[in-house]
Amino acid sequence: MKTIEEFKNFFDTVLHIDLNLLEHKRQKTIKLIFKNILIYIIIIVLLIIVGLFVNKLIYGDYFNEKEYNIPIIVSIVFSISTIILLFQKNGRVIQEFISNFKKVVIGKIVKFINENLSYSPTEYIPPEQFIKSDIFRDKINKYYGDDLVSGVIDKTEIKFSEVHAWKIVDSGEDKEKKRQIFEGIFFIADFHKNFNGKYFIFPDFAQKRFGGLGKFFQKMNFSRGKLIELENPDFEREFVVYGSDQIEARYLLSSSMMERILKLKQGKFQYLFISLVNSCLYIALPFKKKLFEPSVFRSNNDYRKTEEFFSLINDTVSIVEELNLNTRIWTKE
Amino acid sequence: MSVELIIIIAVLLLIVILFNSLIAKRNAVNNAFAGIDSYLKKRYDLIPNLVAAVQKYMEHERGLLTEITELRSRAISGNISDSERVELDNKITHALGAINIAVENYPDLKANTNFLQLQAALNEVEEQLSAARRAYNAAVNSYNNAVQMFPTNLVAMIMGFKSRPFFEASEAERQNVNVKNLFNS
Repeated sequence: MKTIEEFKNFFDTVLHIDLNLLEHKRQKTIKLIFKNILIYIIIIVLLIIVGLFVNKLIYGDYFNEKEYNIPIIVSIVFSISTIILLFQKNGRVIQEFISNFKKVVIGKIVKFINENLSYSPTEYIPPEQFIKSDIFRDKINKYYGDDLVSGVIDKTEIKFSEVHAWKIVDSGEDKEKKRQIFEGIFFIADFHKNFNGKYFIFPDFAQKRFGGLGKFFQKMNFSRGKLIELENPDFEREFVVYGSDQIEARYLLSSSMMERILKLKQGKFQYLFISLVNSCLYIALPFKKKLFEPSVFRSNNDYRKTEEFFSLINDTVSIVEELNLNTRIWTKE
Repeated sequence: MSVELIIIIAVLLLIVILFNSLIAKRNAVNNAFAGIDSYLKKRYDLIPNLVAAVQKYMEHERGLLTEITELRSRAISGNISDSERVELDNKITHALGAINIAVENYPDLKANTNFLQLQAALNEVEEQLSAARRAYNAAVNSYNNAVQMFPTNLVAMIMGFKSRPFFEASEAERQNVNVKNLFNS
């Protein structure tokens, strides 16, 4: 795991230069955006003028109340199309800048954190794997993501990306109602122990809010297997654990693993939704704000903003160390 | 239907529910104990292989290897009480820990793939055994609560259900913690 001091040094010696170049490109991008706006405004004005003149030629007036004024209508239609084209063109320009920025800056930050990791701004955790984790059981109708980080850290294969998953709850005639299932970072790692069952470690909302009654309902909930009551009271206060087998659950959640998960929760990630399925560890880390997004209209040559990118990726990657996933003293290699 | 009859049926139903929940908890304790047993057997099966793998290298620890082989033979002989079994298992855990420490003096052994696989398998069994003991204690805790708390304690008293002892780490095992730490489990 890299420290903030190491990152600061990396920022001063490497990233700073890239950010200066990108700042130059950003200013060029803004100029291009305004140039496009100007060109398209001229086109729209010309279209309207031509429309008015043709209207005068046909109907004898720039605007004749008794007629349909077709040339003006045609010019308005063309103007609206031009505005749409302008938005599309500028959208592409902005997207190109963001993509280039991410590739250079986030790509370098990812490599700085660990040489064996790679970054792709457009790829994401596929929906099949998201579903396979079994953390969220709602039917997913819309799914997208970006910023995939993947690779092998020592002995552990990991990948994570930003993910947005939605469910359509009501598809009305003119507008469909969506409900968000998940928004945040979705993390997958190869777990260091072999196991056969399915296990879920979720924040304990029910017991926290309703005490004994909450626990009773947790016991009655068989949809995720048996309720596993563990002996660490701090862990029990924060999490509720379900799974297929009492012994295997404790084999996976050893005393030290419980402590490590607790530490992870107390440190960087307030809400952790964890599942252990098919020899893999899945963690859903909910976040409300958009991750890793540079701005076009404000300077990105800012240490604090870059450190935010670094901290988020570094904290996520450090889950491997925090949960000790590289310890391979059992039969799984 | 008279009120008395309804009350009698309700009380009988309650007794049946309480009785069944007690039985379920007692079965969970027995199951958990069987879980410990199955991992102990798995460990017994690994011991001869371990001894065979290390004896070529460990000239100075012959006594330790003989001891662990004897402990295993006694443990699987079947003519022992539960408390003797626990004691034997604690001794085996202790002896395995001692072998793990002694291995540090034999670099050739540490590089032997066969031995490393065995060591991984043993680590796994130890961890599973510890999980099984924790699961057993959790089941005992739930069962004992039911036996001692109202109203299940009334049914437990009538049926002669008694509290079960927890599986506690022996003094030897407690001292063994350092050995376990070596492997960062």
